Amino acid sequence: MATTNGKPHEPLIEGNWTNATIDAQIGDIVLDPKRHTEAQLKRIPAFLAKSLPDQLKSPWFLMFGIGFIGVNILLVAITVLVLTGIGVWGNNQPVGWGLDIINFVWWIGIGHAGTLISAILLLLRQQWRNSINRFAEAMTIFAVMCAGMYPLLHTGRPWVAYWLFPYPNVLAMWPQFRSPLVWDVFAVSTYMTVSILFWYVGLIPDFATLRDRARSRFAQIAFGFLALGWNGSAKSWHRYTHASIMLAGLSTPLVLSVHSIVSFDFAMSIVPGWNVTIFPPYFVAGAVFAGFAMVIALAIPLRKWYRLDSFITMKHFDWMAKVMLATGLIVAYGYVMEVFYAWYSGVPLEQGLLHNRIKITEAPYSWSFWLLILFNVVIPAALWSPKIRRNLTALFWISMSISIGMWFERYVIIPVSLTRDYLPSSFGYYTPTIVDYGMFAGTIGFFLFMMFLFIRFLPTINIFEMKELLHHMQHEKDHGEGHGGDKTVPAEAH
Amino acid sequence: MSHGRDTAPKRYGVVASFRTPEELLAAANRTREAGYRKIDGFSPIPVEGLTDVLKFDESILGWITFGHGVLGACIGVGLQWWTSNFAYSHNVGGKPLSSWPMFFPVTYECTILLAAFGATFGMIALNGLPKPHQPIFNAEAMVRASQDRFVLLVEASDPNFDETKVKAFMQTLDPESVEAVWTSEGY
Amino acid sequence: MTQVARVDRGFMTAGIGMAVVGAALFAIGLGGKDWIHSYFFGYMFWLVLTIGCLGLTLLHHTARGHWGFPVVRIFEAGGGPLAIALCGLGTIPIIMNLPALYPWADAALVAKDPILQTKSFYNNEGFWIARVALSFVILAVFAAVNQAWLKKEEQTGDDRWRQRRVNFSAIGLVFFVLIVNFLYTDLGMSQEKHWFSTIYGVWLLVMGALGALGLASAILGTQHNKSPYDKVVEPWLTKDLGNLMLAFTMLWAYFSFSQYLIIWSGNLPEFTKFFLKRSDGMWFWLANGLMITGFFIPFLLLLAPRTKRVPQIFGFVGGYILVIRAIDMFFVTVPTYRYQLSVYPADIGALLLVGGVWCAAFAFVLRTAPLVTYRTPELKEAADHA
Repeated sequence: MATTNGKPHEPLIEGNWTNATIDAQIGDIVLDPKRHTEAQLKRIPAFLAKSLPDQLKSPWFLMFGIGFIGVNILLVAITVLVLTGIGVWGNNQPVGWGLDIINFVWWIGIGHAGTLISAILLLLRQQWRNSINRFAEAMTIFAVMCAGMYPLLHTGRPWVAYWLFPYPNVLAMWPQFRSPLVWDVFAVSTYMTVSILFWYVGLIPDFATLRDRARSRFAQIAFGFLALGWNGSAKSWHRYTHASIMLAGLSTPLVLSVHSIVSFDFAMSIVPGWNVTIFPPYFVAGAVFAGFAMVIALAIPLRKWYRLDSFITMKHFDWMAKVMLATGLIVAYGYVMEVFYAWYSGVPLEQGLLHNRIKITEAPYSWSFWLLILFNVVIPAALWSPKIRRNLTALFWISMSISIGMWFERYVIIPVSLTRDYLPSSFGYYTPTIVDYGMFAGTIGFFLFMMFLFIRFLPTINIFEMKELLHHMQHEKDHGEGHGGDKTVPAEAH
Repeated sequence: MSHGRDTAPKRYGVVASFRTPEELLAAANRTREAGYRKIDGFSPIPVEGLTDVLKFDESILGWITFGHGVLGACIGVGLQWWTSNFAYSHNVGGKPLSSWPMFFPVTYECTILLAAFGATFGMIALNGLPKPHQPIFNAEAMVRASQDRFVLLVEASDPNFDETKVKAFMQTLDPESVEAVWTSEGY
Repeated sequence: MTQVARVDRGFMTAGIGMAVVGAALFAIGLGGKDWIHSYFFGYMFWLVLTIGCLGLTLLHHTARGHWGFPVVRIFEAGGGPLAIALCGLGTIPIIMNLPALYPWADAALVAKDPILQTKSFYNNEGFWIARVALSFVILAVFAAVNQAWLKKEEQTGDDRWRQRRVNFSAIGLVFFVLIVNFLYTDLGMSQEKHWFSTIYGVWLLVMGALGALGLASAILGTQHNKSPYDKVVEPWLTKDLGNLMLAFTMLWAYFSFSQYLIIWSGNLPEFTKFFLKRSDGMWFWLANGLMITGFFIPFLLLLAPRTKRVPQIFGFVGGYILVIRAIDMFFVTVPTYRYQLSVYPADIGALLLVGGVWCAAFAFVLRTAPLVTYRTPELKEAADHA
């Protein structure tokens, strides 16, 4: 087995593992509830530490609890909204799109890293993806759920949201296909569907493993049902790998198109600061940037609590940090270009936009632009240092900074541009309300809630791909030591 | 049973279990050389080269996906063209009724959606799923074929199949275990 | 005994031939006032290709992909200090005819136009020439440093040079993109009176990278059975390069289409003019033709595994892409001054004349070093994997 002692190439799985121990380490997170109470919270008051049972002191319970509270906040916010109408939100003329659309774009962006990790890196044959793709994909699905809520509720009458879809109806109406909002409906629902398919296809062999490992009758039936009767025959695997590659090949352009279409929501209009040709690639890069930040922010604690250090190694963090650095630079390039061309245009309206963003003493929302630069450009610049890329504490906080920064980016683009439209008579201000913030906190809670349910009930790391990786590493090592190619060394012998 | 099918358990085949993919690959090779044709391997990970040994090279799934993609593109274009020109034609922002550049995004999404359906459901259907119980699961070795064992099957429908001979042959492949598999009642 | 690939000799011959034919054709058109427009088209194609080569060199050093080693010499020759210096010299005819190309250099026009007036302290002859000259100097330094360090690394076998090269290129890439963006803005975009597009710089950058990949693929495809390419042109290499070309083809289509869609949909006077000119009369059919020949055909060709496996087909597709790049550049530059689609002999003449000089310089640089960098550890590794 691969070892860690100063090899030029760091292994992607550290330590001694066999197929059986991989099953136990990853699969039992699902099958054995005790795994969730192994890690215990340390800094809790003494009286609580004594009186509470172990289950309630685990990080899993803490995060799940926070998520649960968030879900309740979300439910309250939605109830108030639906009973009263979207007037309870802060958006009004001239700022018709406020926190709801910011959060929509923010969540969609976070979701993209998941698809990217699973699809593009599969096509590029990057094996380091194997240990993070499963929960990154889960992250995608839950992030898209959070995102989808906002436009749905923003319609004002979410109970007739199905009108957005093309179907023959008694109103004799059809969607208006020249509107980017309709493209959004198609893009986001396609994205959601394809993400779920891709995720489920990836899970099928792992469900079969869990089915065969499960001890309780219920788990056997449940996983047996989900595995669809997967038997792992050579023919099945042949079609399976073919389907996975094709799904990856379809998901990659899909990710690009989804965020491009999100950017078209703005770019198709003529609001100064929105009708910008660099928007599609710049939005996509921003999405990847934010998404990788979220993957890192989730992976660091999970790795610690579930002792996954062997599978999610420093090499993984280094790679992800490099992707963040690269996409962060593209985003920074976007900021520079927007500012430069707003000035270069010579058009008073575009120059007004520039003034509105950067003049800290005169423009009411310029603070948001400078915060965006701080969180998205200045702080992430630390990633140039290889030491920082491998310092998990620093990496965690940089990821947090990026998540906040990307939120501000959308804040600057969406409401701040709308406060200064063409006519000075319709200039205005935007102030979000408690319901806006409640919705935002609520979706974060919902996201955590779903993530930790996922960790409890489904394998967090792709089991069969880890075994495949292990086999490849074994194979390479045999080659390296000059063994004949097909000499069979039983895996357990090591 | 009312439909009069023979429901008594029948022999399904003989399986041998191995510890590594290389062993399975070597065994499958020798089994094929020994003249058996209805053989299959079951493994927790895809075994590179096994389909070559089994002379299984199916590419229909690619065409299914491609076909679905083309269908999706046609649906996307057709839907938008028809609704904007005939079913619900009206002037939006002075743009032409057939605003081809603006029809592109939805067409694109429809193409990908249908192609993804083709790839996923095509794979599931070609694999004969969902089918939670199959005769092969009666083999005890199969419990670990999804974990850390590599199982080789010679089906009873093979023209050269003779249980004792196959069992004896398989013992020569240095397996961990060899067993006969029966179909369940009702199959 | 395998033949030795004499790429340099081939390019030298072709270069001289192109220069002679080009000069003759160009001379026919020299009398009219349009010749500078023709020259600008020919010049831009080779400039964008040069910068594409330099960009791919930097990308290769940063990403350290295996695909780069067999072709990095081609990129170094195409985007090296000599090529960049020549491109810098190539601006001289442009500088001598600024008012014929740039509205901001036309005093009568500026006097009538308040928008041009607000920009006049940025877009004036002195500052413009200074910016363009500075860009070329910095780019040439980048290219020279990279090339020198790679050579040092080969001579000494010292891994520190490799690390330096990687670090330099990673940071260099950031400045490269910014500089090139401003250079393209000055040279190309400022020919339009009011039009601007934030993606313009990257758009041209992608065109150049695609052209450079096409050029490298054409060389590999035609020379695949000659030494030293016979040892490196393996299916994994053509597959990786083919996929890279596929990615850049898609990127080009993506940028072109989204730019068009945003401007078409916004329909604001200062933006729409650019595409209005380019969709008038026969230009419309050229635009549609480019969509098919520039995207759909290469996309489908590169999607097929066979293209990426058979070196001859691969080389053909590379050459095809390079030719399409020239037509695309015609579409990007020429309609600014020409309201009807027509191709003058001087257009082709300028393309061949500048190309002839470019090819001769390319051949000259190729001769100074082996075609494939053997001593780099990564290539050995790549060969082992193959």
